[in-house]
Amino acid sequence: MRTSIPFDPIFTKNILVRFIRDEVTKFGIGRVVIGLSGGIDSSVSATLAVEALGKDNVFAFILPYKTTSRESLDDAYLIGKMLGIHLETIDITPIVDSYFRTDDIDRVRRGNFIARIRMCILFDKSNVYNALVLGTSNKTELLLGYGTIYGDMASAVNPLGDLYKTQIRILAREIGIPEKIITKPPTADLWVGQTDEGELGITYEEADEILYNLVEKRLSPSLLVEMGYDGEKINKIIGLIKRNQFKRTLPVIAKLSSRTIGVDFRYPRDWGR
Amino acid sequence: MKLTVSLAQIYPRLGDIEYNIKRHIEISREVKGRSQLLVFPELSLTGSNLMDLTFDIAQKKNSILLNPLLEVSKDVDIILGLVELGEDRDLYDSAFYYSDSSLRHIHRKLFLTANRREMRYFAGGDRVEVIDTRFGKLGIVIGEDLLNPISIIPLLKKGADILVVMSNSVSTGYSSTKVGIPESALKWRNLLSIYAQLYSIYVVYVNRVGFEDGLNFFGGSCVIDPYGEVVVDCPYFEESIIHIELDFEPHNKPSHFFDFYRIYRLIMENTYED
Repeated sequence: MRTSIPFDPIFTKNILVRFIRDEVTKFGIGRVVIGLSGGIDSSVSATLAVEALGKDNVFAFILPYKTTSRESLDDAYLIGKMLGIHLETIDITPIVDSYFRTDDIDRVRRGNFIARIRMCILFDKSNVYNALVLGTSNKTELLLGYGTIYGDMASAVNPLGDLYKTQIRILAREIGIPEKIITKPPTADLWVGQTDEGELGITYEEADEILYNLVEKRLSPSLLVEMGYDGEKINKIIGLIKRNQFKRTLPVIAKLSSRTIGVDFRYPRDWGR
Repeated sequence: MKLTVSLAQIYPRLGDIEYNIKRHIEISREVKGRSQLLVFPELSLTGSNLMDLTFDIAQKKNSILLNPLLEVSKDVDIILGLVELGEDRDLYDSAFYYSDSSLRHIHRKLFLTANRREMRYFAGGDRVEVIDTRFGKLGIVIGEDLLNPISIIPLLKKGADILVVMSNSVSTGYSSTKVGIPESALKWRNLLSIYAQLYSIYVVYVNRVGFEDGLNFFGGSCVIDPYGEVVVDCPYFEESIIHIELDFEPHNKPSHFFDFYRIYRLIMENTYED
């Protein structure tokens, strides 16, 4: 039943380095800021940015909360040092805890808040360093909605948004990310013991194959069942894609005038660039 | 007959027609005295992913903004792309052929694609014609026009020696056979080679490079001879201008594959029979 998802890490690296350089510099800016979590996605984004813009133009921030694991911190620090980029650690515990005033709070609610505080800091730093915020959301997360809207999903330029998690692993090996960062279980690390695959109830290998067959190949769910994929998992994935469509769009606007933003006022981002 | 043609694989600035005209003129001056024909990509004066800019930057064929291009065409024939506002007030994805300080010919893209939302903004052209130049007969098509033999057969029937294919082709998919270039680039190269052989014609393919809202245009402009061989090509992904002398008379022979006249007649008869 295994589907092999086509991938060319050499082509991908070449295009993404050019993409970052192009989409950042044509706005008259040659710098990016990025949050390093110690995970594979931010490690890959940061490494590509260094190749695109040079290490002096990449400003990385490690933004731990009190529950952030030692391993995440160590790995983030390792990548920052390996790349030789500007590195600053800001403990966000006082900000988060001063708002909630108690540890007895719904973990999803607090997790979303943590992700949005990190976003606030990154966008503030982008102003300080005259830089754009580099995104780290991958295609698997974006399709499944496994991210915080206006939190970790917010950025100006996202090099990873069309890559499935399993493709990022191949790319990571190509660009020399340390093996321990590639192979450790992916986690948003918003609470102790959280793992992506635990929360989603499916492995990335399986999710990516189902997504690839549904999205790129446009195969029907019934055909996927015939191919041997689990019907319940397929339905769950389809449900997540639909339910989280709002995270992939701008806020909906009530149409009143003859030209409404997003409906019949449509301009490219790279207008005049 | 001999012809030196220059392929300008450029990175237009999206929606900045004044800047792009300046670039076209600079390049025209660079190739002056060296080439007789200078070919730019599809929508070279405007950029590709225009969305509502399509309305804002459309030009009538006699727009004074385009006068400097008329001027430089006294030194070298120029084929370029832009959004044309037709007399019928429709918008067209057009190619203009300038020569001897006049606009000699317009080709309007015939087959618009739905997936890139061309159909939302453009009307499709309704004719394809051979241009009789001082260096032979030439046909122009844009992008997907090539894939429909109905666009090419009338050109061949009128004895075209060279087929110019202007393009805004985007990198999509991963090639399973060739590392480093996208599947779409490989497919286009194969198609160009197949059509050059089938039609026994020189194909001059000019694609653009650069990024627009994350779309990457792969370049890979090339000239393919009537045997399907690549005579010269530009690199992928990078701006590049190349020049090549074509000596096309020896290849001016009947196609081994098609009886074009018969195909044409069959199509016409079947279309209008009922």
